[in-house]
Amino acid sequence: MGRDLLHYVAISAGMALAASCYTMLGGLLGIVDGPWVVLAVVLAGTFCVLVSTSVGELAAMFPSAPGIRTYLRAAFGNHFSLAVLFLYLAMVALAAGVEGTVVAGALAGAFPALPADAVVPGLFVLVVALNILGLEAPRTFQLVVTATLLAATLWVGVSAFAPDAPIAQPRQLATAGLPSVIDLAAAVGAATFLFMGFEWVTPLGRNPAAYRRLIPLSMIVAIAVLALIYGVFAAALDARLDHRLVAADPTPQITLGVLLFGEKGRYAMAAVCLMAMLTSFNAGLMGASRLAYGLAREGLLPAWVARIDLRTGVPFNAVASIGCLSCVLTMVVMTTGAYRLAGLAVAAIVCLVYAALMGAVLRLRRCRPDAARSFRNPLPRPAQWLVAACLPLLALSALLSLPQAGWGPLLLVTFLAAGAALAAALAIRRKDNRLPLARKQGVAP
Amino acid sequence: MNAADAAQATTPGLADHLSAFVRDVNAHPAMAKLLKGWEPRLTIETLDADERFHLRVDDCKVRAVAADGAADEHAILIRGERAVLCEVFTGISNPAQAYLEGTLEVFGDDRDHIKLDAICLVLWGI
Repeated sequence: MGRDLLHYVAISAGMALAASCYTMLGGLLGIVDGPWVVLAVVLAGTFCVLVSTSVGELAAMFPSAPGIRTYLRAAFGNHFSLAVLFLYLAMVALAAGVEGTVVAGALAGAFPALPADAVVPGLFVLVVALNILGLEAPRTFQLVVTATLLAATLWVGVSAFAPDAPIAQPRQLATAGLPSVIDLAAAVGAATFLFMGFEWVTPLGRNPAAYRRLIPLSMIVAIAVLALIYGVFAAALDARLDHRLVAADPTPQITLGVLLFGEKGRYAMAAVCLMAMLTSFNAGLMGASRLAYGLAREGLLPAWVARIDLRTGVPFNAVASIGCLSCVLTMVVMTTGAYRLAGLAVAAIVCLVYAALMGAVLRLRRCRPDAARSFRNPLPRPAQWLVAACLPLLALSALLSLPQAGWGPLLLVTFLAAGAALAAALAIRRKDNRLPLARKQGVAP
Repeated sequence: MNAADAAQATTPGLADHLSAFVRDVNAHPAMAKLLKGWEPRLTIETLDADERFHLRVDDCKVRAVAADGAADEHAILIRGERAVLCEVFTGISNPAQAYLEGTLEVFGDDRDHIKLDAICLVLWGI
């Protein structure tokens, strides 16, 4: 059991771990002062733990099912679930854009001669090509990479508290006042970004029994581990760097690495960033392309998206499509430098999706009370409602937390949500229009 | 025997459908390419009728095997209600749709899911 739990924890934590998480941690210092960042991380982790108990119940109702598409469809119907799924796919691509920008910054700092703006899209293309060829890293390797990333982050964070650790700028205690509720809510909403993807473990249960305890527990453990490590790292950023500069730094992990370990720290942290980007992009690409493949098999996306390589079983068009979308958004985010705006938009979308998942549990308990659930969310119903209601407010606070961006993040999320709803309506209409034609031609629906 | 039992006795069961499925897969010319290098043990289990069947893919051919209780390195479990499984293994239902709806459970990795789906796609075009 211990080994299985470790396996699921590594998947859940590995999905959430990305190079852009360090940037988001630095950005939190622009919303609230020093120690409150740690509180924001812990609170965001707590919200995610509560969400994970709902996700655990949904996974227990639909073991092995492909996550939000199945859960939200069962609870709220086809159109809503499809719209949320499209929004989710857009969010994954946007997150890749943020990730690419951060890693380009890290590489440019470590290797100034390298054309990082070209190298990062090149690496994306390489990952896409490896996926299309059906080359997968062994599972053990993926687990080792996740463990290395976690250990490296913790090591840097803890090293910052060594008595002889250098300090870039004396911490300004006078500014570490009590934050307003709105600022704290914004920081918690933005910090949700750090845990994004923990739920991707739910379709990967090895057997039905895993959904009774292991999968729900693995998500909680993964979130707790991430909260601890991010909390330590955030405290390190606050303790050793000027938080006003950190907030505007796309690669605070490099700055901290250089401060603590000199040039070696720069290269080591650049390597950590690169590793985190490659694993998170690979995981996002695999997950999102499988979702796109499923939609195409449902008839909701064009049939060519579902074409597979018979030899490898890879849905190469779905992989290429998601890869292209991610590359385009990476170029857009890198060119415009809007990585923080995009990061906040991603965090807000994550909050909204998590609210929908909590709502799904509540609705399914009402409309399918007798359905088998090998795991139930132990939280009382009113508490679940409360968490579900808080999440959109956290999303809104996060979207309005960047003064220089004004209404930009909110408009971006509104635009993406409207686009997703429209795309869902068009996809369903397209499928409905094809059915009578297929029947007329004698093709099975 | 009541009317329902009589009807069930005369209609093919899941075992018959699986036999036909195995026959069709092995006879299809495109399957060799699809199954090459993919050699899992498949367990098909009904959620409502306490039935369990075992298939093995070996050397690009599918065959029914007996349950031996031995742990398998590459094992896939497929579960669903009997009616769902019958529809999936006869090409009436789109397995990807059933999987997305949560009525068909498949415990295996991503590639196993797609390979299984592709078998149905190649066989029946759905």
